[in-house]
Amino acid sequence: MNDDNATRLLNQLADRVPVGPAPVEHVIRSGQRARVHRRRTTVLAVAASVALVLVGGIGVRQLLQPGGRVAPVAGPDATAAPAAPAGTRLVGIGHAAIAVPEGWGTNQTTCGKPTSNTVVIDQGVVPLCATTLPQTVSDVRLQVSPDLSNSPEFTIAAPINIDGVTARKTSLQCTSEGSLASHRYRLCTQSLWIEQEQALFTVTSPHARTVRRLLDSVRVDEGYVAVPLTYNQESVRDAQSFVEAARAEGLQVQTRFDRTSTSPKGWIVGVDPAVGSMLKPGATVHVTVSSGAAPQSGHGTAPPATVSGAACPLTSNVQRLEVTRTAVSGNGLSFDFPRRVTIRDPAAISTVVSALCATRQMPRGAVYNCPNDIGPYYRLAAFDGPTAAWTVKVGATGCGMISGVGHRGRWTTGRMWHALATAMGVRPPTYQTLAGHPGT
Amino acid sequence: MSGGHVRDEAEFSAYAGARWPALVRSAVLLGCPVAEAEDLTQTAFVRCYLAWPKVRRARDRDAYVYRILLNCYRDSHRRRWWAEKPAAQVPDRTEADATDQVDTADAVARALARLSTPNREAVVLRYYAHLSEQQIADVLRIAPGTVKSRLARALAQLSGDTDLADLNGGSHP
Repeated sequence: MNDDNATRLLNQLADRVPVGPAPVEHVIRSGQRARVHRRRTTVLAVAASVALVLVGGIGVRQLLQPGGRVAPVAGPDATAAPAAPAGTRLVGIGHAAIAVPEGWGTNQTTCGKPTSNTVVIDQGVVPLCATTLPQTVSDVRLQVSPDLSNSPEFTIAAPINIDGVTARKTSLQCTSEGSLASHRYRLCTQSLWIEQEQALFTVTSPHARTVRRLLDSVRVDEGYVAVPLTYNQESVRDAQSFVEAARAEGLQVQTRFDRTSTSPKGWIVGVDPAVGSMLKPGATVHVTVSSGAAPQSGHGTAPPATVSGAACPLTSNVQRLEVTRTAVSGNGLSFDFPRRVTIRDPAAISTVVSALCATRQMPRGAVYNCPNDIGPYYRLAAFDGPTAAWTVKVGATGCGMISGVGHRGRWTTGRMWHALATAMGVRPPTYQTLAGHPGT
Repeated sequence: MSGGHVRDEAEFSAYAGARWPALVRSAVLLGCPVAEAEDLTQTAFVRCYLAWPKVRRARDRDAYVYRILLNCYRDSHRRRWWAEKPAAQVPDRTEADATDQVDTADAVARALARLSTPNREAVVLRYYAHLSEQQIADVLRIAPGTVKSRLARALAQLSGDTDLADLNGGSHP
């Protein structure tokens, strides 16, 4: 065997391989989508940070709230949507879509937990709150996930093929949830990841068959594309990043401004059809953008706190209140608490104590889901001598629990954070809670 | 889109169109079924597209692209080295019939399959992609001397391969 022989033999084998024309156009489209997804990924990582819990609250909630103040503008091209299986609607990322029952809502969650059967997409923030609701409903979560190829749960199973595209599924797992035996409930979950679309579908349900049925409905159709999910570097859905992403997907975008929105200028307050809707390339998406004309919320003066009288065990006649931050700044609130501050002003101390006492106790025996309980907490130590008269711990994220005010836990409130920030001499937080937050 | 982007895209399109057949066939020679080879090449070209400014500036563009292809190939096989390989098409003949209708291509395919992966990569890059030993060394990130020794071992093994010998009526090629 010499070089010439080797070349001849390999050519003979290669010549037998039928090769079609290069799918250059498809490659370029995939590349463009990957670029968009990369951008999304970067900012979604930021979006996942706890800072977003507060910062993103304004714009994203307005975007998502069905029936919000901003009425949808003209509808999409009626011929643009693909036909979904009977009784279902399609929602997706890129060209991949899942068929969910028509009766399911979108982002029907409290504190990140579904309150009814729902699709969760473009939720943006997990609000700073707790919920006592055990999950007895099903949800489908859609996330942009560019690379899970090395994730053990996805490498454990052989790849599958969906409409000519490689996909990976995790194994279906059913577990018992809940910290108290009397409140335990069963949940099954499974995920499907399509690398080409960078789309991750996760179904969670008390019923394994529901999980299987929903994931089996995932299809990839190059003829349709989802209204994209984007955030900018500040974890905000701004019009510019959305328009760029939508155009990269081949969608037309029509923009109108809303002068009544309290969101900052350039933030999206409405998308029609909604994010995740499947459209034909070339279809038009209408986006409503805040003009920033209306005054923004979240920076008002805190209402006066009320002391809950004898029920509150905290004393306010102390010499000083030492506030210590236990974790690095910037990951819990939209303002930066100093690492350690001593408050000596009696009026300021009294205000803080009043605000702490005005917080609500958590229900006895409740089961809590704290999806973002990963941020810092603050230790408030009141001194009227060399030793602390009382110490209170205040969680800044997740359930935002307060411990040390009586025997039962409490929930932080915007008023409490406002009072604390003011007493410390720092900018009051942009703290908003969703309607129904148990701590408000 | 800016003029630069348009130029880049046109340049990429021309390059991808020209190299597509050779890369798909290279992937087949490396051991991929045709459908997988096309997927692999497509993935490689998407990566090229994303890094096109870097690819077009590369000292040796072809070598750079082959490196991407090989990385994709290795990634795809590393991920599921233990798993069953799903087949899009049922093989058109079973193992028992493998000796029937032996032709050159089948014999070469079997001979290549018997080479070790490193040796097969070297052979495909040298004798099909026509990369120089230095280029292969760059692609595989090994020393040129290692390329030489792999090629020598591979050719020696192919010389003694019985399937290839059958093509010549029993005499070794």
